[in-house]
Amino acid sequence: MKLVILRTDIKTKKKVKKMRPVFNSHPVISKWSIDTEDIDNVLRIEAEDNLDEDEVKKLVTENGFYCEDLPDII
Amino acid sequence: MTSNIQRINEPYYHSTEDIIHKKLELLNLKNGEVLVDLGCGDARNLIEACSFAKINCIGYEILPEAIADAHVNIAKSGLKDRIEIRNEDFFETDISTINVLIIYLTRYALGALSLKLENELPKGARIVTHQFDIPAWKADREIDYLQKNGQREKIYLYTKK
Repeated sequence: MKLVILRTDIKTKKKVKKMRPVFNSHPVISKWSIDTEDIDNVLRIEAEDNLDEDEVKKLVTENGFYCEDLPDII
Repeated sequence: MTSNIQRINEPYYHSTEDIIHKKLELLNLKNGEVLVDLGCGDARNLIEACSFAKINCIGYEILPEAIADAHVNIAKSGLKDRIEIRNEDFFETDISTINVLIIYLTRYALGALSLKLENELPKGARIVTHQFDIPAWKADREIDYLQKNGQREKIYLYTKK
């Protein structure tokens, strides 16, 4: 099982709805969520181990949104 | 292959005594519990925790200077029989018997850890973090804590469902 967590600019339910068919139809993604109330609007994906994180980023950006890794700085 | 622990190779920061005390207070420690501090640094959280209840503590740390400091501090505190320091990959560790977890990591690192916590921590286990919350998790309690030095810090308490 692989976990991908990304910061996005997907801030509304309407925007989440746009991503729904993309993730729901993905062959190796088993579970996903976008927290529109979170400070980083985190996208959380559980998938099979062979999920390519760059592919996820591409899917998000192709649909008009921004995403990046969460900051790793204290 | 990059080991998981390299993904959470955080720097060695000291939390203030205020924060440590408040985090431990929130955990409501009970005698007989096992507390783990992930990235325990010089073991100050663990030493302080032993004054709250008769618990056993395990600290995970990978930085050599922090491990050395931890051993010195534990020896000084006389708590060698209750505190163990482990220099190993937390991702490979059995966490099914942990009751309480103290963490101070970035959101990135907390996110990387979250699936293991969800899948392996026992029901009812408590987790406390500060400054950064666990992404995509809902905290049971979120406290905006005013420290003695005048700085505010967020503290997050979670219970494994």
